[in-house]
Order: sequence, then structure tokens, then C-alpha cells
Amino acid sequence: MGVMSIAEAWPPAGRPFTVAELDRMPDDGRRYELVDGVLVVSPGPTQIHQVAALRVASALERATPTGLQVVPEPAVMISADTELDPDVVVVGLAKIGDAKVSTPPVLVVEVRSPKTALVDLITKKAAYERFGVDSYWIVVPDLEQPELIAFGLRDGRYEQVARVTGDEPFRAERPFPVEIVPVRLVAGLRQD
Amino acid sequence: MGAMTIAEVWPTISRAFTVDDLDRMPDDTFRYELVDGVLMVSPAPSVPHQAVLSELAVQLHHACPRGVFAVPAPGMRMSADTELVPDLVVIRQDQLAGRRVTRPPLLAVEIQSPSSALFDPHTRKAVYERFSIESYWIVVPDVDLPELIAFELRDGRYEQVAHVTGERPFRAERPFPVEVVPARLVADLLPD
Repeated sequence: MGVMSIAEAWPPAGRPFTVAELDRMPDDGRRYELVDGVLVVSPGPTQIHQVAALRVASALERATPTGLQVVPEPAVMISADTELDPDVVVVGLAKIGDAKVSTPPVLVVEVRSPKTALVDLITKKAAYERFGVDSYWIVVPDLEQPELIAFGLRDGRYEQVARVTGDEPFRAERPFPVEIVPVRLVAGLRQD
Repeated sequence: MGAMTIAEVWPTISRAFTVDDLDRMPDDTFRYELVDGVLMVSPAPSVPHQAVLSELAVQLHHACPRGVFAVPAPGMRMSADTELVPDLVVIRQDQLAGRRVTRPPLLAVEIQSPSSALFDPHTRKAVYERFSIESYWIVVPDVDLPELIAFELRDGRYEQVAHVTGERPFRAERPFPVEVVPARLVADLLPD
């Protein structure tokens, strides 16, 4: 399949967006997601965002127990009209192999672009909560004050379980014991 | 200028969208909105949604004091990268000119639909709060159990001031005294 143009991906007037349209979106660096049939188009991630995501993924990877797997930037299909594109997920190894993650990951990590704070912090968190994703972490790769906020499901609702900044370590228990220090996620990086 | 197609208006580089991009979006029934440069494209509202909206607009119209107006679905531009289209706003006459609303209305109302169930109580509420819209109402047009949830600003934050269902009236004080009964908003939707 070649590179699609946006016109080929767009549904005819009056038809809702589904995950089928999402699959046809152009590979133009933007992030295309779908929440209850609403298409959400975010600007492409910055390099700082990408580096922070990679460092979270590698810290998780080193601590992952047998049977679980870290996957960067998977498509997470929640239903026919909801599909998100988180930065990092942890899923059961047995679930690897399909084109998309379609059962709830045990952990979803979003690196928050300062510009997309509202959508990430609010709407996506609600979507993951509804899907039953046990742990949801938000990483804020602010060079002055990097931050990690962790939520865990309690009776089907997210509760904030940690909020650490700078060199304060986050010692996670779920989905497995791992220590993440926000300042290490952005160490050595400089803003243009 | 003829109708633009999505291919003609789609920025080729992966930058954040702006309200200028929004102005050029095609007239293809989708609702185009922007939150902090993130584009959200929603399906056209359903017929029952529009019927409930029109019923509420008429009720507010009759209760409006002089110089205050209920206006359905205006563009509401909050900054260069944030513009939403509320289902209904109540504004003063000095905002009636121009293509869109650019200062906070007295009231914004959303009639919730399946595609907005996550956005309305989360992202939309946060954006309206940031824009200092004094009152925000969410109507859930469920035929069996219609609801109305009202928020008002207190020290810059929304506080829930009412949550009524069915035949229970909501007696609003702001933006002007008016009684809204959820059941009446969906009465015409009931089967014979």
C-alpha cells in the first residue's frame, strides 16, 4: 500500500470516522487518533518528546518480568470507533503479533507535549480508564522541571498514585517494580 | 471561493493547526474544532440531538432578558490555536456582530452525544473554564433518563451547582432566571 493522501482517507460527508479511516491516514508525522468517532489530530512529537519516551521504554524494558513486553508507539484499538496511539505500552507477550493492541495493556505511558496537555491529561485518561488499563503514567519532559504523574485503577476509576518531579524517584509497584527518575529522562537535552 | 476539499487545506508540514486552518476546512458536515493546536473532527449531530437543542434554544429565547440572546452553534475563538463550536451559547448583544464569538459568553451548553461523552465533561469543560465562561450546562438527552448538569465559575474553577434528571426542574439563577426540565427537552422524542 502506497502513501495515502488525506483526501483518500477522509470519509464521505455524513459518514463517521472509524478505525478503518484511521488506517488510511497519511504518514505525515502527525498523530491520528480516534475517540468515540471523533478524529483527533496532534502535531508530530518533538525530539525531546521522542527521547524521553525512548528512555522510559528502556527503563521499563530492563525491569520487565518474563511474560510481559514493552512496545513503543503501538496502535491501541479500544473499539470500532476508538483507537489511540500512546508513546509506550506494556502488554502480555502472548498478545504480541497482531497489527494492533486490542486488549487493555497493563501500563500506558504518554509523554505529554506541553501543547496537548488538555487532551492528554483529560480525554485520553478517561478513555484508558474506561478501557480498563490498570496503570497510566504521564511524563512531562520539561527540561527545567521534568515530572511523572502515575494513575492506577481502583474499582474501575483512576486514582493518582504518585507525582514526582526532578530527581525524586518514582518507585512503581505496578505493573512491576521499577524506578523512574524524571530528571534522567531529559538529562543532557537542551532546548533550541 | 468555491468549496475547498480536505486535500487543499491540509497543511503539508506537520505543524500544529491554527484557527486560520480551521477557517479553510471544507463544508462537509463535520464539526472542526481546535484545542491547543490539536484538531478534533466530529461527526454531524443526529436529528434527535438537534431537536433537543432547538427545544432548549426556544425555552432560553423566551426567558432571555432584553439585550441577551441564545445562539446555536457559533464558532467561539479563544486564542490563535483554540476554537470550539458549542451547541448553544447565551451572549449579550455586543457579541452579536461578526463571524464568531471571541469573548466569553454568559453560558455555553452542550447536548451530549455518543461522540462527545468523553470530551464534554472533560476537555471541553476545562477549556471553557480556562476561557472564563461563567456557566456551563451539559444536557444528556437520554429518552429514558434525561439529565442536566450545571457548572458555575467560583474563583476561576467550575463547581457543579446542579444535577437534575427526568421531571425534576433545574431553576437557574444565572445567566438569568429560567426553569429547565430535562424530561421536557426530550418529550417529543418519546415513542407514541
